[in-house]
Amino acid sequence: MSYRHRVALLAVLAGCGAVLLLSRLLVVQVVEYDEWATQARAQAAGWIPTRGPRGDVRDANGAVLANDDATFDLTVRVAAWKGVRYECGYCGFHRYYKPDDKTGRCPRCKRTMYTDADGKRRPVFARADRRSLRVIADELGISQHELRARVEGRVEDAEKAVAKATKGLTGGRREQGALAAWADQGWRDRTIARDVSYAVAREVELHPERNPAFRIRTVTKRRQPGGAAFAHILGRTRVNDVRLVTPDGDTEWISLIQGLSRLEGRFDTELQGHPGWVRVVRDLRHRTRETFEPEQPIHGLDLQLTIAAADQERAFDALHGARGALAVVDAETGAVLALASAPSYAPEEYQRTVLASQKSKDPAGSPLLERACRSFYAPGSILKPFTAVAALTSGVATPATEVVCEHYFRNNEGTILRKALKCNGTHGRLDLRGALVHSCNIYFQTLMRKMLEANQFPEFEEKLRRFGLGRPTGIEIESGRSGRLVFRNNWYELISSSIGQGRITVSPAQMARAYAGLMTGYLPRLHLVARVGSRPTPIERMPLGVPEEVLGPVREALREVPVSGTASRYGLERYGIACKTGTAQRPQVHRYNAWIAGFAPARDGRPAIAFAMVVLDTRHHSGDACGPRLHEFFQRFYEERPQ
Amino acid sequence: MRVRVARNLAQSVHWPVVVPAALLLLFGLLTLGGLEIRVSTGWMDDLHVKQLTGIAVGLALAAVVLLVPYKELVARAYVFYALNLVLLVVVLMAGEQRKEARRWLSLGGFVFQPSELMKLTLVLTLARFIRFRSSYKTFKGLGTPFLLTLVPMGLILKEPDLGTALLFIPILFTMLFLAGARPRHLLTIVVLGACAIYPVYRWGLHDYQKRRIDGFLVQLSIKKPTDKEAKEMARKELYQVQRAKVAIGAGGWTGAGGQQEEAQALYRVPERHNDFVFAAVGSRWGFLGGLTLVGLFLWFLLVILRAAQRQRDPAGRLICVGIFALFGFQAFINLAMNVGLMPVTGLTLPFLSHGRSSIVVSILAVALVCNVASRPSYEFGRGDFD
Repeated sequence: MSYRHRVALLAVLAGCGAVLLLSRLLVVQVVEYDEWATQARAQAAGWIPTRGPRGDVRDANGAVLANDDATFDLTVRVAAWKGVRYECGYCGFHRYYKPDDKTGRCPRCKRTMYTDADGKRRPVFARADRRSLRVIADELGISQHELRARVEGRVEDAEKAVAKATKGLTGGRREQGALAAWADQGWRDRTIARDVSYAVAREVELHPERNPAFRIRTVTKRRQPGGAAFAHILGRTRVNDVRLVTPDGDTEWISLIQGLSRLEGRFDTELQGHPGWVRVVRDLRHRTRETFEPEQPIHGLDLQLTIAAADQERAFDALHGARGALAVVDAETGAVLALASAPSYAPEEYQRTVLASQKSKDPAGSPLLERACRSFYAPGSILKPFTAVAALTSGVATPATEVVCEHYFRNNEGTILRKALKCNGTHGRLDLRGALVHSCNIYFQTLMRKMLEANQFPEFEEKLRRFGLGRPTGIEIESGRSGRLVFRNNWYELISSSIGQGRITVSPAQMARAYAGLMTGYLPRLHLVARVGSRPTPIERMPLGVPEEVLGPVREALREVPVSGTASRYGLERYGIACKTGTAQRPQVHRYNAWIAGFAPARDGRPAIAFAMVVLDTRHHSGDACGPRLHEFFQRFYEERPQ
Repeated sequence: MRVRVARNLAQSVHWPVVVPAALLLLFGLLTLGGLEIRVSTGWMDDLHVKQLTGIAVGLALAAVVLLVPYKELVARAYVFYALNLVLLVVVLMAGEQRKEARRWLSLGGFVFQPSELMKLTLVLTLARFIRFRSSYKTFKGLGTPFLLTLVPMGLILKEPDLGTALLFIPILFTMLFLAGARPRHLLTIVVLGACAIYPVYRWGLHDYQKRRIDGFLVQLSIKKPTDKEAKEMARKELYQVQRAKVAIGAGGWTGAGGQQEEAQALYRVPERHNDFVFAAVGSRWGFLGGLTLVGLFLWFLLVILRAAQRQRDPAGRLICVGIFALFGFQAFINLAMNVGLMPVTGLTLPFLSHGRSSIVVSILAVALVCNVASRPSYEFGRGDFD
């Protein structure tokens, strides 16, 4: 082959290459144009999920108890903070992160970076403006020194992260690793103060030149202005990153506030709403050029509670921080009017409360425990009216049945049956009314003995269940447990159950409901939520099937209790209240669980109510522990009624 | 004196070669405009400034090359070769590292790649070696030219820069073929090389290089990955090519300009100012732009071949053909890589891609061709390879 031919062959090869490339180009750009153009359009336009605002929780009067709120967090970008931008003294090379501590070499000229006389590397930029720092520190209510210390703390965090990332590396790899780690850690925004004021946000956002290291991060949080009084009812939320599928089938992430517990958790679906989508087309510089919103976000539904915020606070205040609870319900409709549990916690300090509770040696004092409808305690004497109802309906007694109380429980022949079964005093001859007024144990133990002898104990158990004990009340934040109603075939335990001792536990909400039944003859289903969005919660109540001639004498007796009975010293009669006190012993700690449960007629614009209060682990008997607290509550409940 | 230098320079410029090369340079500058690439501190102006600096340096050096007769350069080819080898060793020891590769030397603020310069040096060295010998016509005699090629190749592979290193092989083969090496010997070496592909793939390549080849095989449907592998590849190995294909494909006949959604695809192509600059051409000017570019390259290559054909001096012929192979294969591999015909190798597109070393070497190569083409040879002997 001659030289000329070889050159010609090369020319042919070049031509072939060109033809091959052009054919491929023709296929890609002309034949497959539609496919690639579609992909290009899909790349240029993106879907951004938009959060549908979470629904508000409002009280009975429309006051906001929980809503979404934009808050500002002050953050620092460690790399831009004073002392982190380093400059090489030889070649002028600078970076916003530290070189490797060990070598300290400039990545460009490889010489050791500029050092001060004391051997420390010299930060070139002291960019934090002192005047601006003072403004920010003043707004935060801390000293400049404290503010600087907080920032330095974040710098240390970044340094630790870098040290962790380069652990085990040596030489050049360590240097490279450190640079890469600083490039990552140095540009993260680290929080130095949460929920800062608008003034701080304004200072930082409007004057970035003064403090280039500071940033403001806008965070949408769940605000609960109801505070500690509503903490147990509303429950907790958290911001969670959720992956959504775009209308094109891709995935995008969105931060949503999700309810974790109580009302926020129970009604999370309704409150959440639904995210929308914004279609965004970006221009050459990736700036948003065009947006349109084919799918609007759906606002979460609002919840309206049956509780008025003022009533809840009154109930919460009345407990004065003592471990206990107060449940107040509308006796006719079952609407919960107050559901206070103490001690409680400030919603914004939940984490701190959890830590404190974990360290505490007294877990019973945990402020995280809801005591009004999710905790169950021995009822004591407040169960006696139901023993009376069971005895009257079973026919073993009438309102006129009399029993002689001689302190100890005796049989018909006068023999003491067991010394543990006794009364607080010696009441002498009592009928049903007197027994309830003075809370005589012997009377109700005797009624129970008669029921046992007449094989009527199932009537007692059935009546307790019919009055809602051992059953859910319907309150939306209940835990799923319903207390204990266990009767073993043990004569002593069965006799004791007549006065609320033994294996019986109830919640204050259950007792309030049961007393509502006692008052009206109907057992209402309790509810906290009056309406979800525009849908009202239906009112449900079930007839108890207990004749009026049975309930009437019991009610009359309970009305006498605040007048001349065990609750007579606390001024409760002023409000027409009928109630029963109860003191359940806790012998293992030498304390009592003190109860008062009862009902009151409609008055002063208030509906007929039923209530139950428990004060736990007190040294006082029921009246002294609960009486003054209840009086304070009712005084404010009836006399401070808002217009 | 100045007049004489200017006259010599003017006489040395071979316009048939310079015109397509200048058009390609202009094409490159137009393409780089508005690519929104951020290099160091500035935006695209910085990109242009850097490219123009490279062109200026290239033209200055080209003037020197044009003034010195190419035979003088060929006579000192071994010196250049040795110096370039030293530079390659220095790069390995003290070069600037970027993205896990150590390819750059910094000299007084001017960063350049000795491997780029080695392409030209190799052409001169092989021309020097082959011009008056006939040993390469025997199988054994091919050893020395291969050794001359494999030594710098090995150093460049060590950087690592597989694309540049692999370019040396076609340059060598083309020059040997033109010089009259027996095709059966060359074919034997090709076959042996083909046999070595698997061992080299298995034990001689870095993991990322293997993944690129895997990605290419998947793209050609030769290899079927698992779902997990396919996802991983789409995210890594096939990412660049896929993005480039979208940008090129969306260009259509005449290109997607302005604010069209299709035009945005270009700004998602990584290295669109560098290895994937053709994606910018395809996206902006469509098939017509691609046709023009390929046409310009073909014109440029044919003109170089024409210069080689007219030249009687063996060294001049070899230089022209070596540079033809350099530009031809580099451009073909780059364009083929952009449209998914070849695996991603990291080769730039001559005259168009951003990069001062690349542009300077390209201009020097053009100057060398001009040097050869503008100096008629009076040597008649066996050196015409016929």
